[in-house]
Amino acid sequence: MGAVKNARRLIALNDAAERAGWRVGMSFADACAIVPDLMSADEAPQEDARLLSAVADWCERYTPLVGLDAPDGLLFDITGVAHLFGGEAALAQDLTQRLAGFGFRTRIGIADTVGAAFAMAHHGKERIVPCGKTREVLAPLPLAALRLPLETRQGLSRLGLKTIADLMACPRGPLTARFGAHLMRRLDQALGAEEEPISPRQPAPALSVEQGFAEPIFRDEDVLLIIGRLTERLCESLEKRGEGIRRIRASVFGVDGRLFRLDIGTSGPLRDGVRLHRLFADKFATVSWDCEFGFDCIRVSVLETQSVSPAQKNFAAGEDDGQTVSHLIDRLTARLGETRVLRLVEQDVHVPEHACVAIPAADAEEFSVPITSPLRGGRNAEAASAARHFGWGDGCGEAPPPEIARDARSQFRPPRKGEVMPRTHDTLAAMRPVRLFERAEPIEAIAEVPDGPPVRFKWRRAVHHVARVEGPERIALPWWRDGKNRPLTRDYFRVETDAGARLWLYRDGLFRETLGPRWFLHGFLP
Amino acid sequence: MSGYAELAVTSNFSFLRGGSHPEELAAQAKELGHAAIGIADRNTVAGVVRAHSIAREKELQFLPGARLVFADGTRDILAYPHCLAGWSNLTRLLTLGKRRAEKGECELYFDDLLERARGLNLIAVITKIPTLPLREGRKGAVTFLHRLREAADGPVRLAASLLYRGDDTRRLERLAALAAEAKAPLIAINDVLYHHPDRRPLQDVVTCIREHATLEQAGKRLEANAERHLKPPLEMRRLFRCYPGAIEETLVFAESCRFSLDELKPSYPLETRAGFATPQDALAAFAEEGARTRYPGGIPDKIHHSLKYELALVAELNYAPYFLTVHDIVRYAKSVGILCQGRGSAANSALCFCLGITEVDPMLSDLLFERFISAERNEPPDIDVDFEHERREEVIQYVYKKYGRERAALTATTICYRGRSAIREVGKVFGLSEDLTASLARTLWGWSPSGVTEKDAQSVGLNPDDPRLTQVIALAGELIDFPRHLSQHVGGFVITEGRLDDLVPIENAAMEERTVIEWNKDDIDALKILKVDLLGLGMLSCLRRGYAFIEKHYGQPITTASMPKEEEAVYRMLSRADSVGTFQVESRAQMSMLPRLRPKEFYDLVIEVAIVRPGPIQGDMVHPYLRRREGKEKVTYHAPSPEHGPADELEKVMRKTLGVPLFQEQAMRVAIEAAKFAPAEADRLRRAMATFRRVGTIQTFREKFVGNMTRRGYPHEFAENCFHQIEGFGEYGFPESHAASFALLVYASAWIKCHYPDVFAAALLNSQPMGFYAPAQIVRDAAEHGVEIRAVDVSFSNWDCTLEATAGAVRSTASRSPSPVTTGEENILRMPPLLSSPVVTGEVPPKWVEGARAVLHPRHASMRDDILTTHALRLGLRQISGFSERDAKRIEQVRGAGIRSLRDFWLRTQLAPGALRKLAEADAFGSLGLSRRQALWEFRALRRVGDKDDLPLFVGAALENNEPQVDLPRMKLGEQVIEDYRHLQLSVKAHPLSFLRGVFEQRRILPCEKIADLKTGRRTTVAGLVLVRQRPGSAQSIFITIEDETGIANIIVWPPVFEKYRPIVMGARLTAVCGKVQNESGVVHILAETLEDLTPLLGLLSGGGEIRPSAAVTVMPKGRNFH
Repeated sequence: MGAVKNARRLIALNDAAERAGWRVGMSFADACAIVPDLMSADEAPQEDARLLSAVADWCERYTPLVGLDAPDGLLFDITGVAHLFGGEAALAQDLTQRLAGFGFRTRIGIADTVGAAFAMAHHGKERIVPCGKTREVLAPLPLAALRLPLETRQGLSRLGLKTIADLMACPRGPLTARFGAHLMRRLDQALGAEEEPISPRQPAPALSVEQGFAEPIFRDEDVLLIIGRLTERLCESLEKRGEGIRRIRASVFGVDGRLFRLDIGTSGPLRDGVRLHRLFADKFATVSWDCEFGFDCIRVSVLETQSVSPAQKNFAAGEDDGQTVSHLIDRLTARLGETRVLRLVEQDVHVPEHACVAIPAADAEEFSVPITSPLRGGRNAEAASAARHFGWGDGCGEAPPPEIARDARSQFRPPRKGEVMPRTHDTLAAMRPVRLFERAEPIEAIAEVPDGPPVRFKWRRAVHHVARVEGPERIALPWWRDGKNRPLTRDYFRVETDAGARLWLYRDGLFRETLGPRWFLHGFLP
Repeated sequence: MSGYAELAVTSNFSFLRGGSHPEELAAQAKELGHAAIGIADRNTVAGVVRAHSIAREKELQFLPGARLVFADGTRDILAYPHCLAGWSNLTRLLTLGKRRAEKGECELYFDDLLERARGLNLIAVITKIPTLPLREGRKGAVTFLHRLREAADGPVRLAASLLYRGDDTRRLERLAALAAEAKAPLIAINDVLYHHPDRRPLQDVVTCIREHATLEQAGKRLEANAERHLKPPLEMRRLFRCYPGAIEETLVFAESCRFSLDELKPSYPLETRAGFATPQDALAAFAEEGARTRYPGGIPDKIHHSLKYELALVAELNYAPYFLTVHDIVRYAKSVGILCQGRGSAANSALCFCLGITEVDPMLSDLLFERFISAERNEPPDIDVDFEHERREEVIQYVYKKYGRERAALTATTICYRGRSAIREVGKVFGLSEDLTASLARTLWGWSPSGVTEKDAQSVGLNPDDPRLTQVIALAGELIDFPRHLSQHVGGFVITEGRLDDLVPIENAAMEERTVIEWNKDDIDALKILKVDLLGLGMLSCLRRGYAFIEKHYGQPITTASMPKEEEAVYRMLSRADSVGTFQVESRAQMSMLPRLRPKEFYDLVIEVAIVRPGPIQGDMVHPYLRRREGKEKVTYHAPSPEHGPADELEKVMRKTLGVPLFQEQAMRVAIEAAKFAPAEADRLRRAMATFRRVGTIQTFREKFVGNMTRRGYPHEFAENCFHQIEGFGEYGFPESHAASFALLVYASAWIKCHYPDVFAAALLNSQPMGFYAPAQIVRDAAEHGVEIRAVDVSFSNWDCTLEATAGAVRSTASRSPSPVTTGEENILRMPPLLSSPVVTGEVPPKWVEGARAVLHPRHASMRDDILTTHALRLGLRQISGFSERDAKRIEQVRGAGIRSLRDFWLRTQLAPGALRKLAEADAFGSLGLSRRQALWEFRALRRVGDKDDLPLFVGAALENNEPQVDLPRMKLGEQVIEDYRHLQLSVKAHPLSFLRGVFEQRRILPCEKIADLKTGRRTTVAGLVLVRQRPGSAQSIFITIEDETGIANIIVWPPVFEKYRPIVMGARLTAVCGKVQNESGVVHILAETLEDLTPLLGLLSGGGEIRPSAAVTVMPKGRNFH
């Protein structure tokens, strides 16, 4: 289904849905009132287009001149090729069968003109219009067969002009005066009075360079060398456009018709030929191509670009550290694989073990060094400093909770001149271990009921006496993940033992939730 | 001292923040043994009255307050008034913040509070303690507290709560130090968001709804734990064991806040009238004067006595100003020609009749005025006044102008989550896909108060055991009835002598020029604040137009008061269920009731109006009443055992209704007489149904009600039914006085329909949208009553429908011989076969005056002598979909003597192309000799010649002459009808199904009118366009009304059949139904057994070259769904 004028409507159906009473154009709400439980999916025009163009690729086996007739049609110029397949009818038969094998249903029209072929394919009963019979065959077809815009079709239909015959019977002048020249042009095109060539499909306008070889090349070094050269050329033209590469592909054509590909993604726009070459080399080292007869062509295409703002080179020795890290990530990723080079991202959740997740480092939009001190500046520093000045204008220990920060954003004021900005630290982070245990370790603890801190506890067969304690920090686990078992609430305590160990432990379960709460050690505090 | 009082409570009136109703919080506080509870919602006091009522019921001290949240970053402050002046300061403060913000928002600044802090006990909620540099940070806080104390002129407390973030000990210590330095006592709070820890999931859900996030996305915006619930005092004492003073302080605080909402004594406007010493004198004089006008022949004794009694009662209770207010508003409305009529508990008194507030003549009807204001209950009188819906705004603005925005405002309506919205929102929060929640929501009909069940989920193909789905369904059920936002009540006004914002905060409404208070009608009721309801009623607009037509075209000035009363013809018509378009009795349910009830006098109409309501239906009172009325059952009165009371204790109450309680006050009398409730207790019972449903008070009432009655010797079933009935009345109580006022409008509308069907149809069409039926049915009904319908035409039609003179009156089919069909022009039309062919009458209508000289349908033959119609109905331009009133007025102005051509019309009116096209498509150029297609052809030429809309004159002229003649294909009649429906939603040419009769005959499908002759149990098949689908709340089955060219048929679809044919029932526009006939007292239904979707047949109508006829199919209306 798709959105038509803000309403979700059905745009395509399978047989089952049609049998159940759904119709194209129905609103989704109405359709569901009829049969509530059919499966539906949102339209994906880009996917459709990709599919169509893939089919078009395949169809080039019949004729080099294949044109797209979006959203769901293909145009073939079969002038002079039909006999290769045993005539027009046989060609149509062959095409239908083969496509049916892929699961496509086809309607084919063959005629003297594009317009007539379209009409036959979409609205006609027969497949092939014999030469010179176009006029008669088209006459009884509805106006939609002429590829007219909906508005024109409706206008004509309101006037009672519903078939092509009706249109042909009407004087041209008044019709043109009322509906514009386009109407008559479409009619003429269908009847062959006006030329209409098929425009062959354009390949996707990606930047691409290739080099063919008279003699096939075999050696890996040669392949890499050529890729490097081609990449250099691409980088030059990208520089002019002010863009950098995010995804690039090297296609290496084997003499035996096989195709090998090397795809490289970067973590930021890149147009440094040397670096790209190195990335290709790293990647190339991970594959083994077995090609007896060698390669006769290499093509390097840019698949995705991103604009780069020109940056002033740093005069000081050494490169910008952000850049260096990003190159390191690119190289490590190219060598080790995407899922092996990770970085931690803070999560907006209460549960400590989920507070961070690791994601592929290359996926990050841009790699920024985390702000370690407020004096470093940067994007978050401004908000942080604003947050500090929230309230009475003096330093507060904590950043305000998000809802207050949002509500009061307009009231933030920049620091006054000469005002000393107090150093802050994230209290919550300071109160938790830097690294949690993979799995919290059960301990036996003695504590005051119901919610008192532990007095002493036994961990790995050693008894520890609590000297100092703070807490609890009470964290309830998400209740919505598991419908049946209500998860428990944890009481975390920061504990210092008489031996000086600083530990983070928790009681799993409040007394109103469970009778015998268990205790766990979750990590060491700094 | 021991104990604790929770003072920081957020209810769900802090929209999408709190997780419990105020009632639940108050009840739970009592349960836990709190000494008092204070509710402080975010910048609002909208929920306090509910909590106040329940706390009063449970004898718990309740503190109304508000949590002040500031726009300038100031810390939240809890404000509780300790005296009336404090309350006024609070409400004024909130009014100030609300009036300067958008609807629903409040923009407060710290300085606002400083100006209005007197009389308020304040608690500062500081959760973030300044740490670095400690001393300076603390200094800021101390100053802050000092300023507050100065402004409030009393102690200011510092709130201490446990946040469970791991540093509570440190934080509390710092707070205590701050408190000591600022000399602001520390007070313990738990900052409650819900009454019980189990509400945490729901509170998380509302947070997600507020933040537009799913549970997974919401992260730290959710609370980390479930601690923010009401805790037992002992637990609070334990938690604050290091600060016992903070616990004691809550009791000191509660003790110092002795203000109760009961102290609010709204001063009603004095309403002094020039020339009279007191309002009572003025009222007596006005009543006297009115009585003389009402009864020019001398005031009857009965009226005289009633007046005297009522005036004395009014004087005793000091309600004269209230009556004067209503009197003045009604007088204003009448002075500017707005029809209005009062109803309500006090409205149908002799006093109100004499004051002109209501039209129900106390002489004519023998109403008991039991619910009239009673001294004993001291309940404020309640008068609702209905005005024409299109002109009510004038009255509202009059009231604002007279009393000023400080003294008058509309009451609020609390918009709550209903079944559908609840499941949709909760589904979204759980990340269910939109179509999944939509399909769940669709299992509920519209505004259903009940939630989705697991069975419903199963019915749409979902696995009911899926734990996530179970959670969604359970939480959606809990969310139902949660307030979502405040909206304006339809018309309840609160007026005061002093400033209204001393009483309650006032905020801006979504509509311009409207201001609304924060309380709804139940709150107002509970506090005994007077209100006047100014409501809009479509039927009054219709009646006003009807009276105007009758005066203009039939020379008969008429009003509701002056029209002939108790005419037999009118009752005869209603008894045949010939009630399309009339007030109240036009719905399917009413129509099937009418032939059984056979109203013969005014009081029958009163019963008719009252009987098809949730109360009597849920109490299973309808059928017993009908049986008794039809004489099938003996009229008996349930009586208690002799030792418990007189046998006729209920007979007195229910004699009028044959021993079956139908009206709300009868049900209340049953509670008092038979269940021995004290009057005040019965009143609480009535309120309980509306307000206390959540806290389980009802069960206690039920036990007492049923228990008392059975103990006193009444049958158990009767007692249960009576209680069900009271439950059914719920919020939509329907007392006899309402029914009486409505019955008057039923009679008035039926009277016009009976005698002047032309006038009635025109008035009804001009007042659309209103009522149950679409214009097509209204027009058809008029035609069947012999009204000639004339098509929309640019030369004759105004914006509104009008009446045009014809020769002669209606005749019945019998008196006429059919005349030959004029065939000259294809678009001259007829109404086959229910109307005969067009004939040329003596008036010589020009050939373009199409439409039929209508004749009376045999069904209505008995009305031949009652119908006085001599005019034809000219449809107005308003019938054209999307045509604007401004364009229509332009046409009315410029068409003058006549229009020569389309070009001439265009040049004179200067209409935009879109408007012209709409006229052409609606076939409105018939008088220019242009068919629909010709007009469109011409129109296209107009538009094409110049690039822009304003082409030079001569270019167009030149082109017009040089064009070769074009013969457009003629449009078949069937296609014409389809086009009419497409652009006018009706056709005067023919009924679409008349073209399919041949097909139907082949399939042995009977015309709808024929089923009336069939006996019960016969199986038959009918087919028709689906007009209405209805699933009444109480019933499981679906009622469908279908229509063919001969009439309508009523179909009942039982649930098993519905499940089987669901796609057809819900989707078909044209359907065939096969089933058994059920004929009960002339009311005919078909119990569907199989259904067939014939919608594709409609495609045949447009015919021609279209391969896919779907265009014609989608033009027909989908059928309206009612609940």
